[in-house]
Amino acid sequence: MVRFILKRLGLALITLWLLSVIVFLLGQVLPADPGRSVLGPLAAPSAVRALDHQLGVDKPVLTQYWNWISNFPGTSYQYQAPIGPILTSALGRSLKLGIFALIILVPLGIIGGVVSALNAGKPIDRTIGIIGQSMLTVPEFVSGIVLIVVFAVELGWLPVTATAPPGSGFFTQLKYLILPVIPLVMVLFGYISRMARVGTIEALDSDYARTATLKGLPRGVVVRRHALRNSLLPTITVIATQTGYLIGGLVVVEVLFRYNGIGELTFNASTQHDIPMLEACVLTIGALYMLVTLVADIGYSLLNPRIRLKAAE
Amino acid sequence: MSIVDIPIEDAGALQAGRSGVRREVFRELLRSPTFIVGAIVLAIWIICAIFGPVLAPHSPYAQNLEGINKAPSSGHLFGTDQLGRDMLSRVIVGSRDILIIAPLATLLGTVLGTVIGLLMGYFRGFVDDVLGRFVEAFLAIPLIVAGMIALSTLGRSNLVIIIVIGLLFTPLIARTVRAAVLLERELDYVAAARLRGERAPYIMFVEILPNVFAPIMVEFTVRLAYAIFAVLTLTYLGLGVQPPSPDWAVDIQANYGVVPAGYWWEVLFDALAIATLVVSISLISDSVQKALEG
Repeated sequence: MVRFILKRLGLALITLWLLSVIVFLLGQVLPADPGRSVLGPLAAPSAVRALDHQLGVDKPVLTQYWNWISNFPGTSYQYQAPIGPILTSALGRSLKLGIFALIILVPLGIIGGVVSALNAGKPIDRTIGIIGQSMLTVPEFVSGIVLIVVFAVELGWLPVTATAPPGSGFFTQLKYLILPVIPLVMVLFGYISRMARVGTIEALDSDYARTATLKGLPRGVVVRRHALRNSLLPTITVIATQTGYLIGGLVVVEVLFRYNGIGELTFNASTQHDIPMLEACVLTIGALYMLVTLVADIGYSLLNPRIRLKAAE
Repeated sequence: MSIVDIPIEDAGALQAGRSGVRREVFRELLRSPTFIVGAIVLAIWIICAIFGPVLAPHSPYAQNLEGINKAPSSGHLFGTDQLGRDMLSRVIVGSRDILIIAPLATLLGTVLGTVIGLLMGYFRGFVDDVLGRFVEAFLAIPLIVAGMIALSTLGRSNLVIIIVIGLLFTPLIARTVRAAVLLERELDYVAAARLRGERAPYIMFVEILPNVFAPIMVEFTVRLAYAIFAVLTLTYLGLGVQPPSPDWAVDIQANYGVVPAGYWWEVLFDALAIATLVVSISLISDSVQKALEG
């Protein structure tokens, strides 16, 4: 088991390093002329050269990579301030939004999937499936705009933005986050309910569920005690792998609802060509994603004796 | 029974069997109400994309500064925008760009992903490990974020969007194809081809490829809906098609600011257009999946 976890950690570290290389290449090699893109087309060539030198972008690529990684996260071009504090407070706000979304999404998705599985092949199963599949591909800004038009502008029930006035209490903040959370939930509902459905159907088809039924246990007990326990584990792993989509969705939702989380920070960094900020954001997002999948993977294997034993062999 | 014992007619029967399956899948699709609904909605948008300028009651570019922000009426069914342009015409013509960009991007991703997936699944070992690590690292960057970086550094032409989305889809499709190839390569016909002394490219593209065509088709339809999702989202963020082109996401971005003033028609119809298009493709891909899985 320890070997299994160490192997997973090792692989994750390699992937993280590769990710940093990809991010570095995307951010530093692609824009041919960072000094020019910061100062604009009218700046004197000598000023551009001076800035390039100050930024260190005139050094060899390997030196640049080392400088970047050893000074991580570095200084923002745009704010002229260390990236660390800006990034962490934005990340905190995004986590608030993301976790709120998960709190609504996970039970809803699992209930949807289990209801589907228990009615497999019936119209209600098909309906949940089609609704889930359809919502999966509606971009967040589309469902978000419809929600804003209906609930914020026409009915006036909820605010148009996501940022509550400073110093507001927990429930006021929550009220501001309701509309932004719905598009995130809509997009991921389909995945989670589908996985929960497949898992539950498999578990209900299994020998132990049949034995439980044959020995006369009521259906409710078979579902709760035997099927769900086994089907929910894979669902949890799937939820972890969807963190990436959730973060992608956060970018759009934060921009649409004017919420200053890491998504909006990344977006602004990319439009302002604030390359150190952009790189820091993307690497943080990627690392976060990998951390979540890693924890889910290890947690899954710890909880599931079959995998635990196989890994020990 | 060894390979030489298989009578030549049986090989023919296999061939006939395969096209028979395709006909069966097609018949199944035509019986599925989900597919029919999806296909009709998609057909309407394709007609709008091709004949848009003819169908639109006004020019999508024609400004009328005396009739700005007008609510829907008999003269302008979907109202007018901040420049007095007819929203109905802009919604109709707005289907064109996305229906060119998204399918081309998906096609690019599918072709590249299939080649890489075949290589990974067929050779396994070192090739698979190295490519697999890269795929994994790439997947840690959310698609929208990666697209955002690429488009803000590379520029914003339609060709760049197609290439960027196509390349970003490649690892995802490669992963699916690889999984399918891993199952196929263990089958007898692959062993037979290898014993016959066929070269690896022949086995991959002539023997295995036709047999993993079904998952690739499913993947294509699923990815197409995502390509629309991604392209429109990036456009909404200001990184795709640029104004004044009539485009649903461009219009939403441009008119979002006046929504709180109550001019909901300037974004709502565009939003509904996007929703109907992606849902129609989802319905099609859902029924294709059902039909292929039987």
